[in-house]
Amino acid sequence: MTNRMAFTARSFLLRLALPTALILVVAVISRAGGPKCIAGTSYFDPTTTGQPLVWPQGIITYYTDQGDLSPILPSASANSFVAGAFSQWSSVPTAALAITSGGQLAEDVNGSNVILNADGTISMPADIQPTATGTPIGVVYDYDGTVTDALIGAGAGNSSQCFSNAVYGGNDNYGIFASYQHALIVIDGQCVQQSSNSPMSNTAWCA
Amino acid sequence: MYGRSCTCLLAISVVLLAPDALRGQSSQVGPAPEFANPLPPDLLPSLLPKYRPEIAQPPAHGPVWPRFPITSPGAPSGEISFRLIARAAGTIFSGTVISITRRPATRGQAVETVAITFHIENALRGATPGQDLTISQWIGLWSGGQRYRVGERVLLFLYPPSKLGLTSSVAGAMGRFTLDRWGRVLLSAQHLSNFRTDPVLGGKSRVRFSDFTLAVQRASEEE
Repeated sequence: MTNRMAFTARSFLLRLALPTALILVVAVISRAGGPKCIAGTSYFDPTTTGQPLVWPQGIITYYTDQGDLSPILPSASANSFVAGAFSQWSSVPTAALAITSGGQLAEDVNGSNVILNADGTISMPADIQPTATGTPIGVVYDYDGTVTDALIGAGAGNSSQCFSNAVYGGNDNYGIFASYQHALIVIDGQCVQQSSNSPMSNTAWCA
Repeated sequence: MYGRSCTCLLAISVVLLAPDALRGQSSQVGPAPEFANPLPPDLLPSLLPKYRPEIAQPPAHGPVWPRFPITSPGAPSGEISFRLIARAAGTIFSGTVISITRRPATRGQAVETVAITFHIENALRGATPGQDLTISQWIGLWSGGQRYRVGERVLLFLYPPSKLGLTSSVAGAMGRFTLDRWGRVLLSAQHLSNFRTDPVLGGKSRVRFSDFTLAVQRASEEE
């Protein structure tokens, strides 16, 4: 009788251990689905410390380059491509984000207007600078890769570097109340020189 | 009968408890930016380390980046050769990050940058051992994930400085390696996958620095 009780207890503990271990293991290897960034303590308003950074009102308005992206993606086609890319994310049923095109930037951004001045300072068009909150997201069509060369490093805009530099960008301005204020995206036209490497021909997207 | 009831009970408990323990499916978030203040310990006590969001002190990550899988016209689809990285680099060295300084955009300076200074231990190209080398990186790359920590030991393949004086690691994470305490070069899963056919690095997760030097020499000489 005692043996049978001991066996039952052991059996119960074993069965208990298995799901417990399962829960713990699954919990440990699970990844976060929470905010990408939260406000820190030195720059942001103290009342927002720890709050997720968001685009104001969940609305993103982007502005595209006036130039062509590449010979096979002239301006209008490139704009459609960008709109399609954004819509992949805004159309997610749970996305609390509205993304719209605000039109075009004031110029064709290229290597001739992203320059180093004689005094060592850097100039580039005003509406893609971090302070250009009126154009919160600038999308640059880097037709010949020279903008990429300038921002990432010499040779980075070459077609041989498309595996990593075809599209890149980042946030460069933040509101003190835990918001994004500006970001810049650069698409290297050297990576879209033929239909076989057009982004349109790819089927998978990631963020 | 009793055992079966227990099993059912435990199965139900797994179903009920597991979702509470799970937290979504995003990729793992990296550590906070180097020039971010540490998260106050009482701020988010319930957050597990892997769940901790980045602390934006600017810069930080943005939420929406449309990226498409890239195929280079000159490289096999989805594979980045070590030769391509070695050839694109203007500077190759191993060293320790000794300082990081944010250089905000100003009226005369349209681009915000981060200055990162390394104390160079071993130089393979374009640097001198013992030198303190400062590079300027566009803030957009930093906020996009190309970050460093003071004290971090790395081996870097850097593009030659641009006309703006900016540079970054070749192919992002592919041009950057971690060094262990013995100075061996550690290859990430991404490196292993892409360099698997390399005659020196293929299949190795850690490589002696001398072997790595050999790999760079071979890659630089190959036509």
